[in-house]
Amino acid sequence: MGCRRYQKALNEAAAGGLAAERTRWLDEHLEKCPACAARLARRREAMAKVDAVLLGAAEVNASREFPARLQERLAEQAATPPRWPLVRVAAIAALAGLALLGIWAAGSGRFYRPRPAPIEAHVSHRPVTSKLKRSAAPAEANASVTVKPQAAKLRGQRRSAGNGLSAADRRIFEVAKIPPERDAVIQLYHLLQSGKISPRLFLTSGPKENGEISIAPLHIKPLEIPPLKAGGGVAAAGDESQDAGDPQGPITAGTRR
Amino acid sequence: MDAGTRALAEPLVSQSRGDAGEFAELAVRSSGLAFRIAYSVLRQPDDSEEIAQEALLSAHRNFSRLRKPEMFRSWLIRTTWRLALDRVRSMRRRERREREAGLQSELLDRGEGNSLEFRCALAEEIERLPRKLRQVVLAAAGGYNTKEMARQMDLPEGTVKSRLFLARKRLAERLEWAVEDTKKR
Repeated sequence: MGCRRYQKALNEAAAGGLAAERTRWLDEHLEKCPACAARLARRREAMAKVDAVLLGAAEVNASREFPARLQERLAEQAATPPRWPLVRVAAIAALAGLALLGIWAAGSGRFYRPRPAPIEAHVSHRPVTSKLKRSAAPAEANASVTVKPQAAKLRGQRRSAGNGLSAADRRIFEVAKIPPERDAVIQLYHLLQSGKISPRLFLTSGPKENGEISIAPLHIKPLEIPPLKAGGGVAAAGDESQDAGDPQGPITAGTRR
Repeated sequence: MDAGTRALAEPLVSQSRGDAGEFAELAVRSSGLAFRIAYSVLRQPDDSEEIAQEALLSAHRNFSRLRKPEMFRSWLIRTTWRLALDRVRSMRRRERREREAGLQSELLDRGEGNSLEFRCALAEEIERLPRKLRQVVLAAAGGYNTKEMARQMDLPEGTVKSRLFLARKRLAERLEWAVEDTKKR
């Protein structure tokens, strides 16, 4: 219908700001187009209402008593000590709530578990075999083994399908293959067996030079540990596996099924 | 200060920061303005006075925290406008509830020919206008003529006129549906 090009003129005409020349041009179209004429009428009516609302208020004044009443209320407000705004009160309450929640969470151990204190055990060093004596570094008598339990980062480790041992279990054996650390590992086994540390703990690093061993909780069964000989040696099943040509042979201290 | 933000500045106000007596005087001087702003939306003298009083009391509480005291009048216009808008919205909700319950709402009779629905729609459309246009519309509602607005906003009068024209045109376009709606009822 070509009405679209008249839209801008319609808006301007409704607001009363259309130039005379363009008014004539629009009027010619409005004579032929009742839809645009109706639209202009609607828009003029809307404009009149807008003006009535916006500009009509300018002629109205508040009642004569209003200023006096206002002054009275202002004086009342000035005499009243300022109250804490509701928002501030709500913010403080929220902060207090959060602090209480934090205290409760810390107490219940839901979000944070303190690290268990180190277990210390004094064990005496004993050589494992005569072959090991030759290859290992000079041993200190009465070395102190400090067992530091770590966070349960190995918990829930999956068992491999092959030999029924978890990756963590295998690590025990890998560590145990290293002769200089062998004694400390065996000492750890004895600590486990004697009940000084939990059988659910697992070696994760060490032993270091100072005899420190880090362990972490793990769901494993206690291993079968060879008893310590009265004379200082270990009657380990690993003794059989360590032939003369293999001083670094694995300790088969126990196997799991 | 740019021309837009210098809207309705009143230099005398800057000296009266924090002084209760001076503020009361200023509040009384500005009470007419706050009343007219509220009345432009509410169209009801009692409600408008209540809103104007609420706005001025709020100004009194927060005046010492006002960062630019010379902008007090602009701030008052805006605060009053917001309070009036909230009030008209709550009136519209109440009117709808009453209509749904089959009651003849007394709120319908108020408003001097302009329905509550239309006034509420108009107020919401003014709120949606760009800041520059809204400023002149609210100043017009507060009773300022274009010359006064031009002087206080530090703008040429032609600019103020064109902004006001543009704002009215835009409002009329957007509220065409409201006119139709009113006729149908």
